[in-house]
Amino acid sequence: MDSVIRGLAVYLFLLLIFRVAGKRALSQTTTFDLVLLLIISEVTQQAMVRNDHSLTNGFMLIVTLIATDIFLSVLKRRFPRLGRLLDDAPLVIVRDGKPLKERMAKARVTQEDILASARQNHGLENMDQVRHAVVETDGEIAIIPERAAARETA
Amino acid sequence: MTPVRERAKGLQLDEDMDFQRRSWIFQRVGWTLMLAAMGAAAAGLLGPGPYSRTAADSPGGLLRAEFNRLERAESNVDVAIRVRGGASRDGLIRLSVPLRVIERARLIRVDPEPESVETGSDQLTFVFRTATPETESRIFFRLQTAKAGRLDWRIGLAGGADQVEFSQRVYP
Repeated sequence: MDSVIRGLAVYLFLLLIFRVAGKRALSQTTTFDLVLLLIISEVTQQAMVRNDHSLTNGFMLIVTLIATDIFLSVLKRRFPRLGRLLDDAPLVIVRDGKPLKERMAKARVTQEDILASARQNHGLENMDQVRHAVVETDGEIAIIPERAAARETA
Repeated sequence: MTPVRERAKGLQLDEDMDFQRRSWIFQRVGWTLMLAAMGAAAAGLLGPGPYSRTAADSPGGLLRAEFNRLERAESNVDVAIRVRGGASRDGLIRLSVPLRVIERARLIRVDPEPESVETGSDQLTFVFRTATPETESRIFFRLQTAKAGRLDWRIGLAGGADQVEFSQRVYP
């Protein structure tokens, strides 16, 4: 009983805290972000497992976490607004080649972040080659290059 | 010449800026609460710390308990008992601790080590030898709490000469 309650409490707390932290908190843009996530996972594990290192406790915690995840995913499919509440929504930060500065500030995204994603994923060189940029719900920046928006002519 | 297919007209994206603005407000409120929680924790409002550290004196003035009024489950709870000089009998200090405290929190250590421990129906009596009965003695209890809730202490000198009562609240 204790394992189930702890598992649920930790799952819901992490859901809330990452929702408050914002999309970019999950994106692991730097090595330190990865280290931070590893530290959080270690702290979470200790809070959930405590002194009970039995197989039963471990299995129950895994079942609780997965079952909660499945339940929420079913709910999100059924109620799209809930999905948006829990997972946030994508945010356009460059539209038609124009950076939307206010949105970038609110989403804590800099031009350098956009350029890094453009270089890594599309081999682009500068902002003029970026038609659209979207901060996705997982914190990654999706880039639509200028050339991808055009179509072939015969 | 075949016609040019139309250039894509923009992103097919379900964007809701009202929701997004509310999200940002929610995040900022959340950040403020997180900062407040950090400040509260540092100050000892969520466990051991400056606010939490306190002391309680017995009515007769022979005992003083130093403890944290707020503790956390699965962590060490340290309680220090000062026994005023002259409270011992035949060089022995006998302190009784309620069994209900020992049942709720695992006793890890007692410093100094008692000469003996006597059981009773609802209490344990720890017997300490003191080399200097006329001076103050300090006894440390370290326990580990298992569950959240309240720990109600009543530490007494043998024979009911004096006792100190205090409570600790344990966060989950």
